[in-house]
Amino acid sequence: MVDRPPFLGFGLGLRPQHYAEILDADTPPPVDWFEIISENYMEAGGRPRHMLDRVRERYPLVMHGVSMSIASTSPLDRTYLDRLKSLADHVQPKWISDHLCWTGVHGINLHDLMPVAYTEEALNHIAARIAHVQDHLGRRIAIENVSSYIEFAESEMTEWEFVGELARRADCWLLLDVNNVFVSGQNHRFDGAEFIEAIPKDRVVQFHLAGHSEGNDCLIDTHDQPVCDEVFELYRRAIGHFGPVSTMIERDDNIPPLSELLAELARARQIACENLAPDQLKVA
Amino acid sequence: MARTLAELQDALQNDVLNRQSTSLDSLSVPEGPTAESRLAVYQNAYETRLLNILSEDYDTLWSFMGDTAFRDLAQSYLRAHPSTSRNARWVGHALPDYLAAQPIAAQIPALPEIARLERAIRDAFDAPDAPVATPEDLAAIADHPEQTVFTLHPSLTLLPMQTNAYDIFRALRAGTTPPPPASGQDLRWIVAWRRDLNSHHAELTGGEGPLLDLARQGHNFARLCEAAAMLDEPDTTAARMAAHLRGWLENGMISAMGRATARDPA
Repeated sequence: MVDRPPFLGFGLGLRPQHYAEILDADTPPPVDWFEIISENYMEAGGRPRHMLDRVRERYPLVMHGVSMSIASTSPLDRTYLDRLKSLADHVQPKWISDHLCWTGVHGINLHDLMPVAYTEEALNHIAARIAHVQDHLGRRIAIENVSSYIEFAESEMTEWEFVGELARRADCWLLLDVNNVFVSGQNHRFDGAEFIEAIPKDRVVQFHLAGHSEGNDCLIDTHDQPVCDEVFELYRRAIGHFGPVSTMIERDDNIPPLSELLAELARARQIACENLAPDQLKVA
Repeated sequence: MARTLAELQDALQNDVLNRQSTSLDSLSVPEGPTAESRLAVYQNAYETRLLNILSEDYDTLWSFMGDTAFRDLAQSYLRAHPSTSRNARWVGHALPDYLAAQPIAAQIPALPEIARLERAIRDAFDAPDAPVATPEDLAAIADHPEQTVFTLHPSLTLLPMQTNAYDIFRALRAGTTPPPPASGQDLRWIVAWRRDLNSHHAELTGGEGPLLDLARQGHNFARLCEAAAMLDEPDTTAARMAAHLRGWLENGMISAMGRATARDPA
């Protein structure tokens, strides 16, 4: 059994469009915590760091990265890890997360979350790299499942088998993106509930809820739409299965007023209340 | 034959960067869609995402060049400079120099100057924080004019321009019709910097640009005064230098003034 970090409640991704509504409102918005995109605050100064410090004074934060490239076959970027550690030393996040993906090889960055083949070779490779990162940062990290549009003929197991085994081998936490489970389930014709119920309960520390778009012949993880009903229903299954897990709405594009995201967050909170006892939902 | 993890990543990256399909035999898709169409999701996303980044960083250049010309420029730039940075903010950092080396820049020299200005404003946004010097720091100058040097704010970029790029830039930012591009003009000095968390830009007046450039290079205050005396009526040097210093201080362009300690500028 792994000691999981505390339940933080219901949060949002911190976006510059909402700084004023978060910091200057007479009544603080009903948000328990915020997630920051680590890379957006790695530069030295100016408004991003200033606003980060103001939010940090008032809310618990977690750090979420998009370019660790943990599954890449190119060497880990030590400069990036040093900067991530430096930011974490400053922010003191409750945890740090990144994606189960690679973003490039041979020094190139595709700025996308590229999928991996679910093989024993990949398991060993990625587990070793997570262990290295955790040693470097001096803490466990959480790894997030991504949306994908292709699978590989080389794969030797399902995505959920791979994710669960990776968490055990690397001794890391998991960030379960419920939308990504739904999108990949639709794209690869698997049942999202089967995915969720196969993931080890004691490893999941955070849920992402997000929106997606319809492509030509698949769903695309665009984070520019409201969370759809099907993803909320999958979230109901997830919160029932895993118990109290810190939950947030992740919106990255077509950013609406804060009130719209708060309404989505209230719906998530309501679903959790319907499925868990009140004492389970006490925020640490 | 099954590919290794490294071989898969090499093939897929190649296909995304170059719109090829060398990885198709390793791709698995359910009945209905094709592997080509699913691979295209990644190929399209790469192109769209990076073009959007460049369009946001260089939106005035984009407006001035038009959709087709800017898109052609962005695509050729990305082929020559695929991103090597973990942070998307650096994707377009080499675009001004790249643009300056293209044939279109010889025809319209204002284009790379617009790009340099937009880059400087973008870079000012999250440049390192630093203190801002105050009028009280002026005492150092009175006591040691030949030893006093200036440290400009780290967000500040000084841009000498030989075209009317700044007029074009300001017109487009104001939503008005820009003047036609013109080059071969007298040297103009544009400065971009951050003050109170916001990026600013301005054109320096008269001989102010060369003097701030000397300060940037680390020359001492006495040297700046000598240069000011040569730029205009020597009798007005003290008044002009006082006005320049006041402006630089009031605008937060100077981080420190003090006795030189490290380097002796060329």
